[in-house]
Amino acid sequence: MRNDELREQLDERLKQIENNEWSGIDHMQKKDYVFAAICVAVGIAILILGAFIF
Amino acid sequence: MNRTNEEMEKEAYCGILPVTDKERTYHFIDALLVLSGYCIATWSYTQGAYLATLVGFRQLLIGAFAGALVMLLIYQLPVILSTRYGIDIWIWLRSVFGTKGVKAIAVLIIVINFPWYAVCCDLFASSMSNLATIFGVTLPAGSHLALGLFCVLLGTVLAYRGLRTITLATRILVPALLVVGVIVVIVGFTSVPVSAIWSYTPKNNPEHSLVPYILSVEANFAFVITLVGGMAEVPRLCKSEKAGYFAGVLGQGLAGSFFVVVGAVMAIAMQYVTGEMVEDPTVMMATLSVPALGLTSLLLVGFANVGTQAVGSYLYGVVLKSTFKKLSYRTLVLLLGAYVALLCIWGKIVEYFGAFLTISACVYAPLAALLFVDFFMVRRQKLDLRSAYECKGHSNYCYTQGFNLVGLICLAAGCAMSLLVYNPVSGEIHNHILFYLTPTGFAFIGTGLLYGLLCMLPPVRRYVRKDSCVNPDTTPFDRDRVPPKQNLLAMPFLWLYCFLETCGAHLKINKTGKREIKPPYLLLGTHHSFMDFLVTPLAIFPHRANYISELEGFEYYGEWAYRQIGCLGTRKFVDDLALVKNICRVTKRGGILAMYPEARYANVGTSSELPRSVAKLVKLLHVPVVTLNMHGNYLQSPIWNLKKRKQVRLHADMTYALTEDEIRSLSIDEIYDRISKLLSYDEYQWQREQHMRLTDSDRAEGIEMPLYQCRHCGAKYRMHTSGSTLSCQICHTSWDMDEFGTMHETNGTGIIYIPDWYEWEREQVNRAIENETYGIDTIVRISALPNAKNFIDCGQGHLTHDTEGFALTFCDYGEQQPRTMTWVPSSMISLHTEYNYRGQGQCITLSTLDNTYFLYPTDKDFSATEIQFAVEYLNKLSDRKRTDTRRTISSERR
Repeated sequence: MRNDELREQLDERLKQIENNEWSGIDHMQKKDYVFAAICVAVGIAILILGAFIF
Repeated sequence: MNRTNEEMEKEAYCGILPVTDKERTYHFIDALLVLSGYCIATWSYTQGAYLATLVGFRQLLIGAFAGALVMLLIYQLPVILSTRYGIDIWIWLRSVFGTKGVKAIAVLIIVINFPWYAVCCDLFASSMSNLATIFGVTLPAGSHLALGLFCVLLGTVLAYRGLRTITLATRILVPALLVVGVIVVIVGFTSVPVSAIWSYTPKNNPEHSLVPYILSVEANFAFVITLVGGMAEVPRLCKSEKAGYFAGVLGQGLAGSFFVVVGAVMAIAMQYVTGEMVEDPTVMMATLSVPALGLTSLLLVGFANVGTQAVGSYLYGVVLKSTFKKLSYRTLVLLLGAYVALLCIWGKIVEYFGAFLTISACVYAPLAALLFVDFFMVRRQKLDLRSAYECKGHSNYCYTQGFNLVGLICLAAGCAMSLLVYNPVSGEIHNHILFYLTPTGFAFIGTGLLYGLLCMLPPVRRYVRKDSCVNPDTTPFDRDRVPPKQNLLAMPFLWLYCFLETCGAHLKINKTGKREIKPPYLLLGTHHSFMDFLVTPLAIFPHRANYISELEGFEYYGEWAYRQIGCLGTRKFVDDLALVKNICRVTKRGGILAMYPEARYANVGTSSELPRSVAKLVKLLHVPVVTLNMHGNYLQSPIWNLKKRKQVRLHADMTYALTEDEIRSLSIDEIYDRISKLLSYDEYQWQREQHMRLTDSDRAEGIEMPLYQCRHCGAKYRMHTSGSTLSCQICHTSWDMDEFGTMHETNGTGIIYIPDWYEWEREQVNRAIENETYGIDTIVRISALPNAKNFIDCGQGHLTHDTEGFALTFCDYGEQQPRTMTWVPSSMISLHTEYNYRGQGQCITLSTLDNTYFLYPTDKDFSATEIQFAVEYLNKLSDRKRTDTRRTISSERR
């Protein structure tokens, strides 16, 4: 792809992003972040408990 | 699919174009399989065998899964950006390291990461050699290298052919490998008693020592964080952020860790059977499993290395493509293949692998931390994509010649943090307390904190967040917040700083009044320059005070620091009731409230007319009033040329102006007159009286800002200064500023005092208003300051000013349609002006209660001083009109 074509394509895609036109992408929801945070907390707890298993 | 579409797709998948929502091909399962294929390499077995030398099987199990998942769940979060915009994290990292800095870091990451792939090729060669031996075939000398290069070739060809081939290969390979893994576990557990594996503890493990366990967790952290450089290539092809994120987490955290455990099981079983812990999976398979099953498994494991090589080449090919956009993806894949081939030919990669690993482990954690903090805290999930892609006219990520020094310093500091805790070469623990966090964990937390805290410092924030227009903080400043007293701990430093700054100018403070001045009281000061804020604390020493300050000072020095030194934020020339409430709070709690009622630095060293509301405030507060009339501050650093003049001496007259009884008995007009008298000044007159010569050769430079109109021909905006000379570019008349600030006509005998010239200009504006010939109609660049956090670029707008006041038409941030805001003359007693605000030239500001708009002219025929004169006169006319109306109404009533 030529440079000018690539630049044109890039510009078009950036415009689409700026105008929020990519409706097909599902965003992370608050519950997903909460789930990840819970997993991290549980993981850390397990790691700490693991220190006492010999 | 036509050629253009094919090329476009190639540029998206293997290049830098953001992948559109329609081009996304990956669901969760596809992404999981590809990433699992990448993670299921023979290095997993090596890692498992290494962990088995440190801890027992149960701790190994916990560390492998929980350790890996915890780290992955945290550091992989920024991949949601890659899914959202279809871009690689290396595009984002341009904001963290700068457009050139990112290239250096990408190359560094690849240089230290690719030895992993050389190890894969080496293991592939070993697998094939073992297979040949099992079949009784003796391979010739040099076949090991040839097999290694064959692995490089296969992996490179798969990566070269692109994403579809890789996807297809992993769809076949990964499920087969997972089955092999299950078989291996079964083989392991059936070759030896289950209890031998379950109860396994390493021989050299000191009892109840946490060190081996922490080392095993560290090994898992370091193991999974190595993917950070290439973590976004697959998620950016996913249809949902959740799929991209969890595929990355589970691909490595479950599939990868499962094979680590498989490796550990095999290693433990080998030790049980042969007495020796072998980490080569091919040897383990050949020894422990039944021949047919073992051979099949061995073949698959061997080819897993090819899959890893292919996916790795693809991931890092795209990484390189994101940073070196002019090179084609295929060229980069070939270059990567050549690099791995060279490492294989060198043949000592396994021997020096520890050194590579040491360097890489130190770099990955800080890199991941910088990305995490930048993504969530500094830039709050929004990137200036056009600057990241270096589009023409967008250069927010150029920083210092293409390098973001803050990001690079934090990266280096993070590496140092890791090494300060633990030396991975010698195994020496330098800090036992921090070691509990693991070196990788500490480097991750430390780098993140350092970067986050640095970015909270206003100068650093302004440097790093040049893209703040993309994601500005629009929360209005909290005007109602109760102002804290000046921080006691900060006071000695503040006084010392003030003393050091003023001692060179031999500051003398003359205190006069009926008695010793003690708080609470209201301190009213003249306002010449920033030096006023340094003289005042010394004048009221040893007491503390609260100061009224314009919000831009909060933005410049940081809100927290400004509040600690007792500042109350407000906006100029607005009716701010919250400010009045806070002023009352300060005096009621027995404090000193310091304010500069002129609300603007003196343009030419003469006092401005005070607002009558000051006298009303005095009545309202009912606390004694002290005035502080400072001299020399303007002369030392006038607003039109902030360069400090060292010959200036400072002086301040502090006067007990009004007692409580006087405030009770005097009328508002009488209070106003007394304060006005005590706060009146003419700095040039004072200079002449003091015989203070200012011999700086450039003493007139900048004075064309307040003296914008030629006194000879009346031409506006064409005055020019050089050295001590002010000249008109139209009539070429020039004046020389003498050492006492008086202007002498160069080719004549006339002299003129600067304040007289200034007042003459004011008369011209007043006359123009009376003759209805005054009017401003110009295009301005607008920068909004809603809070103490950031300025927001609002683009250009149209500003008019006439007898009806100001009208500003523009698109406010977050709005699509332009709107017109108006300020009527009666609402503004004056106007805030700047002559060179932060190096951006002249500007005026217009404020509402929750926003201040800094307006920079695009036309050079503009004078902020002229508009200020007009605002002041129009306000007076408005007052007169209002008074006349009142009189008419009252006379009609009579």
